[in-house]
Amino acid sequence: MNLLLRSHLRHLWRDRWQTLLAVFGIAIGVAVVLAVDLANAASREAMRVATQQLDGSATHAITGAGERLAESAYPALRLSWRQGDERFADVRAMAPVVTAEVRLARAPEEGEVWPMQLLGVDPVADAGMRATVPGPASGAAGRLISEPGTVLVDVASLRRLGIDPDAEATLWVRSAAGIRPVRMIASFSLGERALGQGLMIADIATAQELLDRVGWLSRIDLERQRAAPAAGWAVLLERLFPGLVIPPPASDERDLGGGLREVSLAEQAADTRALAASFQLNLAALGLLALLVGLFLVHGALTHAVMRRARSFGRLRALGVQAAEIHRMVLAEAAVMGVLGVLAGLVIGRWLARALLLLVAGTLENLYGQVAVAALAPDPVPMVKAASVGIMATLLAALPAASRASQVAPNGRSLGVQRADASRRAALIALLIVAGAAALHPRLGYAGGLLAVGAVLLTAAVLTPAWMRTCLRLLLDVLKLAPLQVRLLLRDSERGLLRSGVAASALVIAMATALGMGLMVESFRSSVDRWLDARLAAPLHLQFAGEHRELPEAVADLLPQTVRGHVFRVTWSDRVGGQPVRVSRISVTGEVPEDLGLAMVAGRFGPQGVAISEPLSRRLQKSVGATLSLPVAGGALELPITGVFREYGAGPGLILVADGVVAPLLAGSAALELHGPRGDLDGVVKALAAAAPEGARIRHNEELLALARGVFDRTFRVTSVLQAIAGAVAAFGLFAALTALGLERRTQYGVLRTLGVDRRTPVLQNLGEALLLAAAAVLLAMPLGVGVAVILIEVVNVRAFGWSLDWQFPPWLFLQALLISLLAGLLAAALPAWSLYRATPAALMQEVRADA
Amino acid sequence: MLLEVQAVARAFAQGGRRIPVLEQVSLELAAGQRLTITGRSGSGKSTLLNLMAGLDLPDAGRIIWQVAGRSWNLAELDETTRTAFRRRHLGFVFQFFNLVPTLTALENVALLAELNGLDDPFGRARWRLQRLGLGDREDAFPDTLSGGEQQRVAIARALVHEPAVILADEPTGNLDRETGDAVFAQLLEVLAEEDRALVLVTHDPELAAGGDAELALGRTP
Repeated sequence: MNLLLRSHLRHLWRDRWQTLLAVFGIAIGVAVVLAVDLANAASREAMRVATQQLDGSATHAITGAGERLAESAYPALRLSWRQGDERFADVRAMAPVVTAEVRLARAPEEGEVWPMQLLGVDPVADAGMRATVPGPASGAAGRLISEPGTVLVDVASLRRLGIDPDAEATLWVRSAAGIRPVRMIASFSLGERALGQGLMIADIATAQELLDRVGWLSRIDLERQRAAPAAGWAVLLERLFPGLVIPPPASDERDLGGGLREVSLAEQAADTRALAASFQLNLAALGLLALLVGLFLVHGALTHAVMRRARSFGRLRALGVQAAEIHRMVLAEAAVMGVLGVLAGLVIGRWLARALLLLVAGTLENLYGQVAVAALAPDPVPMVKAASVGIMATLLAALPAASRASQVAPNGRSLGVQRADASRRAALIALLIVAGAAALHPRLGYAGGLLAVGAVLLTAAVLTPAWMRTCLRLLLDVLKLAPLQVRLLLRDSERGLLRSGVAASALVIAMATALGMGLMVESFRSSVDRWLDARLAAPLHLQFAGEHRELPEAVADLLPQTVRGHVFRVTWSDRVGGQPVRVSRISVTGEVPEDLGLAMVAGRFGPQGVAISEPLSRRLQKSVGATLSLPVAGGALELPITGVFREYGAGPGLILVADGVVAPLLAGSAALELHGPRGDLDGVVKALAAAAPEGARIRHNEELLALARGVFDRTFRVTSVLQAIAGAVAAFGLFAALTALGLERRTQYGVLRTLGVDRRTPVLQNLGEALLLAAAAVLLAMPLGVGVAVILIEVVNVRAFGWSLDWQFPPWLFLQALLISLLAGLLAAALPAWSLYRATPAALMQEVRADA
Repeated sequence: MLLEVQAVARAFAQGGRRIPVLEQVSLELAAGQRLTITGRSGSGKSTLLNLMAGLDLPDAGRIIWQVAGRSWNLAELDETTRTAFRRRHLGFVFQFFNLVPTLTALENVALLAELNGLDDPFGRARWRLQRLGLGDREDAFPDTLSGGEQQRVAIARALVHEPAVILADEPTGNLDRETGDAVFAQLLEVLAEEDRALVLVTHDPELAAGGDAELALGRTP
């Protein structure tokens, strides 16, 4: 081995604890990037598998208004296709589908149920379209068609319910229509990546009966010849940066007349994918944050190593070693650390991914009703990506140190490093500010917002050492008359900034992110709370089973005696302007809150038009005064938008339309809000329960509020975990820096101890320095955290989800940031301080002589 | 007697073996006297100085100081008391100066006066620096001072709290002959004026000559 390289590698070994800390920094960064990527990939795969199982090779679907169409439409369409209707020229298969979410139980009263997607198909028409549907010639298909009430259920779901998949059994299906028995005649496997949600296949007639939809279909699936696959580079880019390159949904919706429309299934899936990808990109950004914090550890460790070896570099230069050779050697050291860190990171990342997957899957399920896979995909792309990012980022972090090392003159002094650093720093800050501002351009969407957050954090990192120096000098000026030991502490802290400044930068980044995210989450929580309070202001809510057009008569008769006012909603799914929506027809009676208690962003809920949710308004780019084309049975109504209201659900957009505007022709799920109960609430509940049809559920608003808040908390659990990891890495960085400083100062403390300074002084100096750094870091992190929150709230949330939030500045959040930062500082300083406390003056003096 | 070292022994463990560095070493030092300890590298000079300063404890023997009207047997004192004794009654001059790099010359000197709770620590420090010809360098940081200047600051620091004795470990070892001689002469002059004792560790025969007593330590086995 090259002697020069050998000498450098021996330095790594000699300073092995510092090397280990740097390797740890890389490892954690790589691990978090990999874990987030793997967890995201797994949940994306779950979505793909779920779509594949339901849609098979179908490319398009014909739907009616409210996503249901009369069964009679199917034979007519099939006949047109067979007779060569040019609209269906490239159609290879056409099959009717009835589908809905249901729950499966072993017994009618059994508490344990399992969520399932019921798929009702015509096994003959469906032949070959879906792999899970048995072929028409099979015995299972024959029984599904000939024996009413028979179903096939996936093996994993049966096992979860403790049912033998190889034996026939009677099971119970709960749906909006009530609880019905079915006969499970066979099971099938969904493959290794079992879904959280199961699949149940039935003949279409059985499904219609189970769901109370006799005579109706959910849709008619078409298999058209597939379009050319996307270009190779686009596929690669999507795999490397999921979420960044989501193609905008192509609106190839086609009106087939008679209230029938044909939509692309890929387009429908893209809507959900786009929403989920926003969340996943946010996670990926947090993963990169952990890597960024880790890289500051590498940068700090290498800078420290270079500074310690300035004399050694000087000797080498004097012997004739070129500056470029020293530059290369420092980069080679970094590469060695990078490789070690990446290898460790890949191992830790696989383990971390399993933990994160559950959190990511849970959040996606809460947000988008998606389900998760149980296993991580053995995909090499995320591993290669994380490894490459780790190595490249390590080398990038090593560049300043390598440059510093190569500038050491043969006499061991650095050449103009300070000035070069200051001008480079100013140029970098200017560049980051310009890049951050450019990233906020609306065309870059929410990804631009995240880039801007990155620019703010990097600017903070570059600014931190200068900020720390200013704070310490200010303190020195103020404390002119303080005891010399205090001034010594301040001067030593300032002098140590070359080493500790980098770690402090990492701490500032972690704290600013934590504070920014905290402000965003608190603003979100407060906005959601107010929105929920308004939306669930009615003390009682009644959800009817099955589908309805009108308020059941028995309940309607009872209402005038039991409540002062009520709101009745019938809600169905549809698509408007290429966007999936839920439309609610609303009838209001008696005393109810103004605008139904909705938090209006603009306009009002009026009897002449529609009110739409804020996210939908942003997606459609339509607001009050614009016209919306609302599909109704047999055509579409052009209605003015009279109001836009806040909505924090992440599902389809909401449209509210007053009873008088659309005729009650479409059925849907029905719900009743009850305001101003007359007399005892329990009495009202009892009376309604007696009058309501079977399957109706009456719920108190407290119960609904608790449910909604539980969902909110689960949603943000994963972000808290990633934040905590970044914070821990930053604290570790500070620990590394203070340990290194402690080592450097042992000689100074040795002299002081010899002169008669007691053993507590070095300890207090170390702890004091850590507290000073931590306090200065948090002071800088506070305004930066607010800046991060501004971008998250005003740019990222609005662009990604269409949510506007009310700002909240809870003082406890700032206090918490201060305390966490101080605690991190104290913990980081504890070990080096303890080591100094235990060292004897003789041992320290031995080091003084050795150092000389 | 200011200092009595009685049959002191000290050994260190190295690779599982005990290497004796000092065996049965005894000496005495009176107030205002100048004791020189000489010997080759590894003979135990620094070890003996450490023991005399209470930085380390002997395996056998006693080290007794008679200062400020009382007797201090270092082996019987706890670490805190030994530190307090060192701070108040001893002054140190090191071969490599060992000034605190983040304190100015004045502050380096004032530090010991302040630690000892003496009144007007900066006035005392200023006076000491002026006496050693460094009145115009008091605001300079150590890295801007020459070697000779740094050592004179170190001497000022060793004297500022008016200790009974100065322990000097190769005080001219890092200076050229001319500068070294000049600095050492200044040290001797001040000590003579103030009647303070000096324990000088050196392997320079010229410095060793002229002391009141000399202890020559043998080679290590």
